[in-house]
Amino acid sequence: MRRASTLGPPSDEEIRTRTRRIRIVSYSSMAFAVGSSRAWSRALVLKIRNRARFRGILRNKCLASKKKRVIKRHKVSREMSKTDMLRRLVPGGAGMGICGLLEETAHYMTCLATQVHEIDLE
Amino acid sequence: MELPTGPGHRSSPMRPQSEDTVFDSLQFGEDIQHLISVPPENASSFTALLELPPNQAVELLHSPDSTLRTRTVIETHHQKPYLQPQFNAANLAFPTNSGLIERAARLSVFAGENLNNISNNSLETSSGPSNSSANLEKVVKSEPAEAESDLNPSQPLVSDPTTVENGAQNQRPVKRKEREKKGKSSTKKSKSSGNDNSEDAEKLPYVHVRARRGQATDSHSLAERARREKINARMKLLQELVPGCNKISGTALVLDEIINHVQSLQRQVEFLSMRLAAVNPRIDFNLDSTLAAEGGSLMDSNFPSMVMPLTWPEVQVNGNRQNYQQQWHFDAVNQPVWGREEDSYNFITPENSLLSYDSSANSDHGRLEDKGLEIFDVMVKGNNGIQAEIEHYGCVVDLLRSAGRVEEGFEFYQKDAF
Repeated sequence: MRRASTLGPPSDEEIRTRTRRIRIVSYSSMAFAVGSSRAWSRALVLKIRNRARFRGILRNKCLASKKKRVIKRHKVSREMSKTDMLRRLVPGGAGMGICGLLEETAHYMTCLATQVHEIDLE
Repeated sequence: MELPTGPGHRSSPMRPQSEDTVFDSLQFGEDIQHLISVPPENASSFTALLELPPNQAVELLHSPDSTLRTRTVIETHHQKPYLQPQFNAANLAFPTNSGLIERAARLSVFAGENLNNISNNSLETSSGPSNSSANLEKVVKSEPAEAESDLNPSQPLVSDPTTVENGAQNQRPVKRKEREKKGKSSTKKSKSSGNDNSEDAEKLPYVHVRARRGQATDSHSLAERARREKINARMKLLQELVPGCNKISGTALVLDEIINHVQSLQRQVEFLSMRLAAVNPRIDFNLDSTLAAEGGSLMDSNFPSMVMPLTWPEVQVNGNRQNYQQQWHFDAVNQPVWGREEDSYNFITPENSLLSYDSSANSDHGRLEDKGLEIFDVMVKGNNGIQAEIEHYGCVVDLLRSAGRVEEGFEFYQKDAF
């Protein structure tokens, strides 16, 4: 456990680390509040837990959309479609179909809005 | 569960599921009534027509043990020969889920009351429940007499068209759409009556998929259409959530808006946490390990949100030292947020409670009272507008006392207190 550093104007690095931590706290509290009833909360909890243990190993987890019904096209790299972006945004979105993704997005959005409201109390 | 005999109860040989058959005969009469009355035209989404929210509707759709059955619809005017059974009493299915049965029974009682009130303006005749059997016979006679190619081989063919019940325990939920071979509806009335059947679904736990005019009726199309309806229902829900999205039409633009909104929310969280970090009194803490340890225990017990610090002191303090440290840290994070907007008296409470917890919760303080002193120093020196009150001093002194450092506590009191 680190001791509190001496007083002085907080450096940028400290602010950055603190920001990261506060953000992790808020996300984890949101996920814990929801519990394990939603897929995104479960994915979020797992992500935070794994991140705490293996920092950086899981950072570059490549995201692959679950359903690839597209026929092989000429260009190898296809542009990120909207659903892919949504999958990237919502935790745990990679392993769901469109239907489940939309539902999780709705719930995730409401919880995020509540979170913002809670944090922003000043 | 005792169900009243329906108006269209047949005297044909009953299947072992007697209550189901009786129940279904009741529904069957309503079926006809709903068919021949004028339903709303714009039944764009049958899930929207359901009174249930889309989640439950989808749950109904995906009922795993095939508790949902669909019913075929009487095609009153259609003359085209069917490859699939259009309507057959044999294809009426039963809900096996007791909850659904209860609900349907409850709702069908209400529906049954409307049987006499529905005005019918179809070719087929009257609306009385006593005429339902007559209607049924007329309707069925207009059907092609060929035996349907039964999609469900376990389902026996029905010779008597008026047989309501059927051992139709359709164990495959995917077949429920194949049951609904509507085909092209030749008249608007049939189509609208079909839509009314989907409205019927809101009363009874059946989900109807009606083929509209000019649409294919094979199983794949129906499945796709049901899926599209689900997706559209979800998109509508999302549209309501995102502000300013109601006017936008088109899935792609709505998706863009949704993505932007989620991104903006996440950015807001980031920005607010940065703001918190900037004004936070400079307490360093080790979050990652504490979060990892806490995650295992808390997730199981579905811990309430940690963002509410005022409830923190009431939180059950387990004797685990590690957890105690976490609580201390988290409250230190949340302190300035709450402290600023409340007067100093309210602010004292979490601090006092924590200080008292510190003294009482652990027998082996170790470094904890040092940590408490440190926090006190930071609190006093920090520029977040907190004044050290007598309660704070008392807590510190008590803390030191319980740690065995009485002299130090006395000195502390003499030095700092007023």
